[in-house]
Amino acid sequence: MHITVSRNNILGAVQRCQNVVERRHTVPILSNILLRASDDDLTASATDLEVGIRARVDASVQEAGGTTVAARKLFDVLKELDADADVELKTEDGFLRIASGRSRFKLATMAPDDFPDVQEESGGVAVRLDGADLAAMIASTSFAMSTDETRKYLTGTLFELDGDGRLNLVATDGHRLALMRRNLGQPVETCQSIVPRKAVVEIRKLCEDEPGQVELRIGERQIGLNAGGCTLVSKLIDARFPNYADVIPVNNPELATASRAELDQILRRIMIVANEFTHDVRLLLRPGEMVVSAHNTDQEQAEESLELDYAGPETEIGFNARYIRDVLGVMKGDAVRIHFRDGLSPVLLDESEDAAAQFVIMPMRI
Amino acid sequence: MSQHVVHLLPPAVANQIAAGEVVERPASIVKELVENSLDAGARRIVVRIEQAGRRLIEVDDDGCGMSARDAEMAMRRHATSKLSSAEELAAIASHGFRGEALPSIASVSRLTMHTALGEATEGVELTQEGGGPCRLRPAPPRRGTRVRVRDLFFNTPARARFLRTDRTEEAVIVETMRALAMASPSVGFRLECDGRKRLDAPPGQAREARVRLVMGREFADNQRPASIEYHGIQAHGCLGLPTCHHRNAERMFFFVNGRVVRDRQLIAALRAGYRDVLFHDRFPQAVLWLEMDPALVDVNVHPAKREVRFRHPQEVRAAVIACARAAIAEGGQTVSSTVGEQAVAALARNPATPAPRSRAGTSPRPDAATLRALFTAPAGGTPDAAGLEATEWEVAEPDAPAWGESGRLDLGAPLAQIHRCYILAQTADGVVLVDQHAAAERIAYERLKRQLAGRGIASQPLLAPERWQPDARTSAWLHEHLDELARFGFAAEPKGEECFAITAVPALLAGEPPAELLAELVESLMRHGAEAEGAGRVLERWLGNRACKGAIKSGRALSPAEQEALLRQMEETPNIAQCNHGRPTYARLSLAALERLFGRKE
Ligand SMILES: Nc1ncnc2c1ncn2[C@@H]1O[C@H](COP(=O)(O)OP(=O)(O)O)[C@@H](O)[C@H]1O
Ligand SMILES: [Mg+2]
Repeated sequence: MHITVSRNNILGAVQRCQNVVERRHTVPILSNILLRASDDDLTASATDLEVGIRARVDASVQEAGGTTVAARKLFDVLKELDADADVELKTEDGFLRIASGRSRFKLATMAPDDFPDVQEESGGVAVRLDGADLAAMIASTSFAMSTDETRKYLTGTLFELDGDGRLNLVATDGHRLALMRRNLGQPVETCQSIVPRKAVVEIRKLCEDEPGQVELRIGERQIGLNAGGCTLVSKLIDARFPNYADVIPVNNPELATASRAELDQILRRIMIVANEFTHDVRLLLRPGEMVVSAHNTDQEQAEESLELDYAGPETEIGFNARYIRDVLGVMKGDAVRIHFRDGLSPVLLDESEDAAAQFVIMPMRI
Repeated sequence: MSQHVVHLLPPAVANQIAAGEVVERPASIVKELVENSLDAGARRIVVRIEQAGRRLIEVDDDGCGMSARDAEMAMRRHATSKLSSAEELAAIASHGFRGEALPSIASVSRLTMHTALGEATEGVELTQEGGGPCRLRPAPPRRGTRVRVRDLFFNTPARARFLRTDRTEEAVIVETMRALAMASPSVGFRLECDGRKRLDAPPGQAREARVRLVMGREFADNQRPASIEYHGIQAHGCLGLPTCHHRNAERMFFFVNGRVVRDRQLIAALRAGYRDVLFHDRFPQAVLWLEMDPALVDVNVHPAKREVRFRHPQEVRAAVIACARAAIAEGGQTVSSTVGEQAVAALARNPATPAPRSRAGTSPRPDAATLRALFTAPAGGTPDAAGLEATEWEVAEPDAPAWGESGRLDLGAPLAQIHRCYILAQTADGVVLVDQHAAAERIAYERLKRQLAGRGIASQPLLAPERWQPDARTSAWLHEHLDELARFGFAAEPKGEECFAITAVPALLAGEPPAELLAELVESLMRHGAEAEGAGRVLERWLGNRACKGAIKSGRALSPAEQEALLRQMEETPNIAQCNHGRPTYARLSLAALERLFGRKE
């Protein structure tokens, strides 16, 4: 392989790949990145056997071919090179020579034959949408994913195409749930799959960087994303996601509307004296007012009230304040609507009647 | 009608009765036959099992074999080559001696034995069905003996019904073979169940290699070997690190003079050895070989020879404790040796075999112990009464603790972080070495405990209930004690005989797996009782785990300010001397000791 390529282009591609490389993988070649040159482009790919990324950039190819080289080291080297200059890459006697300006590097390589290249599954349902929209959907839901490895199905995000032509993203850790819907404006075949956390994070990054549309492919065992010159594929979590519709309370009788920013600031202050692990705070709702309070075993206390739009009966609900703040943090508007029944039933939070995002939080028994 | 009703039982019936004791289940047959092969001096033993032993148990060895006459003799009750007088019974070195195994097995199965003597040009094949007549016919010569046991319990259907599922019986066979394989590392063992290889240990292995093969890499990498001699008892062990514990006693193996033994006293002794470094409801993992004069062990206690009686149980106990402590202390040395090359070299001169001081106190104190005493860890728990002699040379001598002049704990000023694990600090009269993780863990634990004091546990209900299917015993207990769970922040509802729906978990542990947490809780409650004291222990353990997870890890670089903060927090924390698992959190080296170390002073 012998190519010349713009330093910025190759750095971007290598960085994308580098994100999925596990530092200490038991299979040594997986710490490497696969470089392949043909015609007039260079593709870089990397995988941890769960998630794989392939990024394509333009290059002038003197000699086609491929090699693999330590991802981290290649990235560190490229980062140091002159941003505006071209980089020359050449394989020679089992090494990769990198030249740019007056810098010369010679990095060890491993043969590309053993490298498990990113395999795309054929079939599945493909949909197109704006990268920015998908990124926003993930941003609004991913915080609710669990880290409990014993319940694998909670450690990812559900990607669902439903009968109404919508893409729905759902994440839950068993105590709270985040749901975001987006109308695709076209009928699609329905399907459901659980995408592991790592892939969710990478999909979001790729989408954030993509000014135009992306293509999402949901298959039997794989999810795929095409964004610009990048392709990501990931295995799915092979499990059944809980029936989330059952968990979303649709008929909560009471509704209180508060200022989102104000509530968030109050919670932030009150949390200072709450139990540092459970963050338990009490919300006392009464007509026109909400009193937020917390205390701890050292007899310390905090209390603050805010005005809000509420006319129902006086109700006290205990919460992990973190759960509420996570939700407030991903909302955009000025107001938050709190739908509840009593102090123990699931509470629904949203921004408006037709909001794309819904959040459910289970109260805490304090 | 005859007046006399008492008569001798026909041999077939007598054998069946004996079989009731010796041949409990397929695994006991495997054990008896393999022990016969071991007694016959076999170097390789191959065991084949079909249908968990119901259909076939075959044991093939390359031992000394038998003549036709001996083979026939061996099928009679009380026929043995291993014992001839009552005196010999007092000092048995072989596995067998009762002469009961073969006739008992043959009385409840269809048995074939193919054997030949070493040099013989002809062998013999013997068959016997259900304790009936013994048929012999000439057969080709072979090396060693092969016994095939088919159709176990075909003539005693009542016994067959007592067998558990194939999966269970097979698991017991595998466990039995694993234990036998560790008891005799020099012998090759192979086990095939329905054609699948379940164990394959080559002959001529060293103890540690065999343990690695049988117990797995995780254990092998997390154990310390130790050998000690105590009052003529030799104890060699592969002892799991205190952090490598298990939920029950099943990962403790004891071999007394090569015999696989499950003995309550030995289990208790080993636990005592780990007492200060393990949570009360956890069990160590260990493999322990004890060798002593056969005259000091009575093996004729249990028909299946699982239990033994020691002539001097206290000494055996002390030896086990000493062996465990030697291994645990060896872990402690690793810590202290980071201080200087000198210490490393000095410690290295002493292999991991600190001989315990003999009771008479004549043998000199080993160097390693002296050196270990240089770094005095703060006192651990209370020494174990019965293991007193064994503990004397242990680390836990509380030298002058690191108290400052004001009478408060003074851990000095941090100088450096070592290997991202320890903080080195200078005090008025020496240096202190702090284990950052252990210390942080204790600080977090004490803080959690305080938060909990005087207040119920906040409960976090689940959005959707979590199904949990515990085993029958646990389920039965739960059905009666569901109410007790509320105290710990749990709520669960019965969904069937052995199925529950967990609806709430303690908020403090909300991020952790509900079923696993509840299983742990229930197991502890079943063990300690749901009364206040038991509940306290359960809580303690939980918080301990939690604190451990949240605490500063080893391997994290700490800034000087963070080091300083940690030391000051330690000084404020009650019980800071040990982490939640009983390991010391800091060690101290006085100037005087340093001077001794470098030979500046005697
Ligand atoms: N695999 C074998 N190889 C050689 N001899 C054997 C073997 N199995 C049994 N024997 C002989 O048969 C005798 C009877 O065996 P057993 O009934 O198990 O009684 P024990 O082992 O208590 O002597 C043994 O003492 C031994 O002499
Ligand atoms: Mg025997």
